[in-house]
Amino acid sequence: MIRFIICTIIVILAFLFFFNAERFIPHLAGNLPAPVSEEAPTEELPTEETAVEAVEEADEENTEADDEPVGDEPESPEAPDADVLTDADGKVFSYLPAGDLIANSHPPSILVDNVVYDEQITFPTEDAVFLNSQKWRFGGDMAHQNGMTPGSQCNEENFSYPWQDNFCEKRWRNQYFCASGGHTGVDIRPASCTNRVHWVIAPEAGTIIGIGSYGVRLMSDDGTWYQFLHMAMDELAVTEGQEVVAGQRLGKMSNVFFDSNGNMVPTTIHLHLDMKESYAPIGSEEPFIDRVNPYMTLVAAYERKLRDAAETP
Amino acid sequence: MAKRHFQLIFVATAIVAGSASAQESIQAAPAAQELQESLSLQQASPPQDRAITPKRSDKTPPGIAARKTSGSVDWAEVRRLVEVTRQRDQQRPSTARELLSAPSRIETQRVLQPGVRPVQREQLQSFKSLNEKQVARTTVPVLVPITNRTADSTRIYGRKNAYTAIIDANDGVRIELIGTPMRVTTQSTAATRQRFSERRKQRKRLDALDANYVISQHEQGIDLSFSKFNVAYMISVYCDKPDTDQRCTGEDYIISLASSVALLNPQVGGIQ
Repeated sequence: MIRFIICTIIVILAFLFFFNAERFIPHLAGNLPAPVSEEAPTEELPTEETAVEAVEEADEENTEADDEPVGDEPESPEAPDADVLTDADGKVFSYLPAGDLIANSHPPSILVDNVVYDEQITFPTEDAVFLNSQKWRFGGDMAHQNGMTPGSQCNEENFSYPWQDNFCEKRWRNQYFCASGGHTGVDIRPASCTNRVHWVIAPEAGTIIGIGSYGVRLMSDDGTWYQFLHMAMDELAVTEGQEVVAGQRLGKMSNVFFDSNGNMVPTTIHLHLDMKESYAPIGSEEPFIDRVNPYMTLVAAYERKLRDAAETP
Repeated sequence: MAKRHFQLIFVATAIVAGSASAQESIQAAPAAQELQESLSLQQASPPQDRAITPKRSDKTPPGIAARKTSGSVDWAEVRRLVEVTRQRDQQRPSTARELLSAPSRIETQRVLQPGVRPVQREQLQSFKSLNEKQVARTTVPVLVPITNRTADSTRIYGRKNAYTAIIDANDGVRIELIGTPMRVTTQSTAATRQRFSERRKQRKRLDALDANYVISQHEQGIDLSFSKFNVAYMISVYCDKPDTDQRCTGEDYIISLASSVALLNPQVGGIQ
């Protein structure tokens, strides 16, 4: 009987050990593959060589540390990264990828348009700007969907980086390339929440082909069509038919807007920029003029603008 | 005895194994939940975590570069369409011809015969708002929709590789037509494939110009794009009240504009 009890205990212990081996031998757990998402980069396990290098580096660090006086002094604040692009106010420029629209502002299927349609344009404003949604952020009529209420359009979060694409945001109109209708351009806030101060300038040489009720249209010499909306119409610097050069002032950013019934309804202070290109797939014989997403073209132009400013003494 | 002994061992083992599995399940549940939460967190991570911060030292342009080239205008096709229209007009006198020859006497909008009708240089003098020099600057076939206000109010802004025609009728509608042989091409991306797939689905036939067209609506009105003679054109109708004006809410008006057009620089293609 005693022999039976001992045997039973041994078997039980053996099974307990088997099912909980990871606890008893921790390195076994480390060898089990961890679940990873498809897109997440997998971290390489250290090989013998890298492990040796790591030890050597650690030794060097320890050596350096040994030379330094030991004390209770607080760590010095991290030095700002000099290798970034900053605007005139010293804010570090960053942007979200094309197609990464703010929550609730887009249909499930998004047009992710990474194309830089023109690598040479002048950025169309004189000052720094913040490209983001006017409707789904503070001060917008859909802001409540993102918990951005209460708040006004002048909330400082609206005037900060990163930029966020808003082409093809939900609208009731039909743009065939935007699922569920779509915003035909991008919205851009000025450097500050101030009306009639910040200048819009011509991105390319061309002709002013139209002055609408709240905007200006420009046709570039090589056939790109631009529309600048919500301008201060009584302070425009151009007239229809005028030929302009790249960088020439067109007018000031404002909040002028007429709704679809022709009523004047102020919007937020921003520039709405539309861009049309004759656009064809490679090898196609049939180009069509379409509204295209200016987002990455503007990112590229803004980077150049900030880089040029940084390199100019 | 031995048999009973092994039965007991089996039962004991099963109990232990079962309890161990149950324990694992209890431990796995929060782990799976944790993983799910971690994925959700990744998807809903703050914008700052998803943002790209360009380096000053890295001058590699972002995005996918596009290339802009000019197509060669197919004037032979322009001549063919003009000739087809001419033959049609000889069989059936057209209101369009009347509009272009004596525009000031025709004040009402009429249903026009479709086609492309040349306007010779001397006839341009009857276009009150037109600057002929602007027409002469461009090598693109200058098409203008024929309406009862075409001759009165058409303005042209021409560049070598592009032009714009404006018809401002002062009746709540503004018509704009742009044309260019320039074209942007890019490498094939998911976005281009999606765009062109949708374009193919939406494309319809414009018999009058023997061309494909696509219509899209926007907050200010309606656009019609078509491609002909290796030139891309877009007619836009801007309405003061785009929600209620039928010229912007429906497609008939803009299709009629695209179906009957005047060619203001036939001499560039040797057309009499």
